[in-house]
Amino acid sequence: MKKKLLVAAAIVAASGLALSGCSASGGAGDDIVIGTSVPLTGPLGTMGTPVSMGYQAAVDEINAAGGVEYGGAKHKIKLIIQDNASDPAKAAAQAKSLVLDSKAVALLGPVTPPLSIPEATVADQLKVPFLTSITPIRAFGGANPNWNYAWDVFFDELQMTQTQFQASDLINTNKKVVLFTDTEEDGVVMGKLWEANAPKFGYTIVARETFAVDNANFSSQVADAKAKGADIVIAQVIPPEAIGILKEMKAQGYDPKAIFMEKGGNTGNFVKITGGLGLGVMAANWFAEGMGLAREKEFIDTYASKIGGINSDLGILVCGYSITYVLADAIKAAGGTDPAKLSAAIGATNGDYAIGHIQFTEGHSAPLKVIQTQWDSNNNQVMVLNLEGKAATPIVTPEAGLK
Amino acid sequence: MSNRIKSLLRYGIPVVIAAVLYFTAQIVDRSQANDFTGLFLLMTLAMAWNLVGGFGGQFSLGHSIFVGVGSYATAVILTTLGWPLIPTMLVAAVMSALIGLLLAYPLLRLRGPYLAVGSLGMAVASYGWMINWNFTKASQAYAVPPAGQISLQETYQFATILLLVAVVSIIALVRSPLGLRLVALRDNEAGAASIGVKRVRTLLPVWALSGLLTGAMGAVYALQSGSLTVDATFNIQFSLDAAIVCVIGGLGTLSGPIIGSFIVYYLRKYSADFQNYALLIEAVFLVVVVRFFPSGIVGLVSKGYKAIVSRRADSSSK
Repeated sequence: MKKKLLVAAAIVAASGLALSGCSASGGAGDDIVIGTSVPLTGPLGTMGTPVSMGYQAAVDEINAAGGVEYGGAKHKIKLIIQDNASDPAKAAAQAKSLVLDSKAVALLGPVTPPLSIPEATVADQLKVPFLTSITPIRAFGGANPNWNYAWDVFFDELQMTQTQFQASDLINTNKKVVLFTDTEEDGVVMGKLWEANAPKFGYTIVARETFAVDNANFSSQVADAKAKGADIVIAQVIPPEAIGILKEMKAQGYDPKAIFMEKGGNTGNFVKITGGLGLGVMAANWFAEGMGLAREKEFIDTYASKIGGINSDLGILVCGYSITYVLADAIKAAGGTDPAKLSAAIGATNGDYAIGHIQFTEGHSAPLKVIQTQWDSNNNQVMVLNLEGKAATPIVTPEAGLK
Repeated sequence: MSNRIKSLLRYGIPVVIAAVLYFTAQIVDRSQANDFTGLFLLMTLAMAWNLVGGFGGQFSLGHSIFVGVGSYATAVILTTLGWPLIPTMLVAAVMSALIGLLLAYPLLRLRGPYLAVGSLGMAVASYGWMINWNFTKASQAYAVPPAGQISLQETYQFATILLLVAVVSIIALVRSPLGLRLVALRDNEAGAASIGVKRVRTLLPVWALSGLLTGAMGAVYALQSGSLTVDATFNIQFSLDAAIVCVIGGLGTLSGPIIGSFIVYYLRKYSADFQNYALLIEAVFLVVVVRFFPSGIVGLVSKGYKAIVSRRADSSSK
């Protein structure tokens, strides 16, 4: 019995030595821990789920290929995903805990400025690289013009706030516009840009309805919009607000010729979750069929059925997937996970990814160009304005869901 | 033991403990520093609330206002006036104290559940005001400027000093004539009034001190958070946390908030892994304490100690 035990112990010890030898001679290195605190539940849960799917898809691919190579060894990525329930305070606390307790060497961001900015602040405070998307770059830069470790890949609000007028030029309207903007970063930044852009395109903002985030009662705002007789509604709201506004418009019999629901309408299954009211609603997008992105078809074939159609959720997934690769490439370029070197390597990114070309400019952000899409009855978002600002698929007007 | 030695120990022990904690800041790592900061802030919040809710019997649900005012005042002063950090935090705390006085004046006309509802109404109104106030960026995140972005170890030192100030000032107040009048009012308002204790005159300075300490806690919370949102800082959860901690530790006792904070903080930290069950675990724990130990952990320990002493006395008399 004793002899058997000794033999077993010897085999275990020899195996251990052999494995450690493998590691030292260029095989598998230590895992790279990357953390992310995303909204899987709460008002932004519909956006947090696809972004985390994108992170996971990229990590699975990278690990299946052996991991990230540096220092003569391949290192697998260990991705820790936490649900911040769309709560900024929880997002910041989780980001801190991921770095301090779980020893994450870098963070992948959540979605939207109210969550991204607190996490980016934590990253700067702890001097840990942070890479986010689905956070418009002017809102990101406006919160802190001097980010050190935080980086953002998403659209520039200046270009995005022109697409609504370019799309409206494709249909006949009275050129009167009502804005619905909440008081979070996107609402403030984009509201001002729409006010500035409207006269340049020959449009008049007849009213700007503002309200706190998560507002639930839009009766007075919709009544005012209807009284002003605007043919165009442009809203920058979160998904529950978008649903509330559409329901109130239906209740008050207000059916404008064009409705743009930015962010609120960038939600998978929007037509279904609005009970059909969202049919015909338009929203800016950064991924759609016909955009001409190199891996467009591959992502549509692989994920559209899983995610419920060709919609913004797919775009969010592709953004998450792409920035995970940006981070992995930066780790390789930096030769490891030293925070300062890794952050510098992220900033030096200049390459093509699934979401398009990514190159960081001033303000630690890499702008993506957007198009305009319209929700159709197949639960897809169809491109109606292309990257050149020209007509694609004809716009269906007036908004069908409110009829 | 003479009264002088007792008094020396009463204030000396917290000072020595705080000094040890303060100077260990350089040897604790960032994770521990962040953990202890969170714990000490919860202790300070609970002690400040306990002054009003425990010793004063005024069940306030409005303390989130003080946290919000303290944290936003710190961030706004640092951003707009560029003051040094310590004067900024002191002014933020004083602003909270003034808000405490302002709130207390109308609230003190209410009693029992009416005061709880009144203070809750003020907390909701303040939240509504702040979430729409463009001066503090409404519902956008308000970043604490670089002057307030100190290391986690320095934040831990601020939290330690603040906790010491809270402990010493509350011991001093509770043992002062004002503290005796406060407890008399809580236990028998009519009786206290009959011997000349004025309700408003007694409670106003207590609310001010509670507001001052909670506002200072908000200031350190701002440094720890790095960026502020109305949702995070004017959150009613602060008032509820303070009340829960005091009930678990021992309402109206000096050590109750400290013991309760320790239990609640680490219960939350370690139950967080259970995701959705974390809240259920805390709720069950709270219900058990309220049902079986209504005077909290301090009451339980105190009862146990008295039982042992009386048993010893009985056995020695036999």
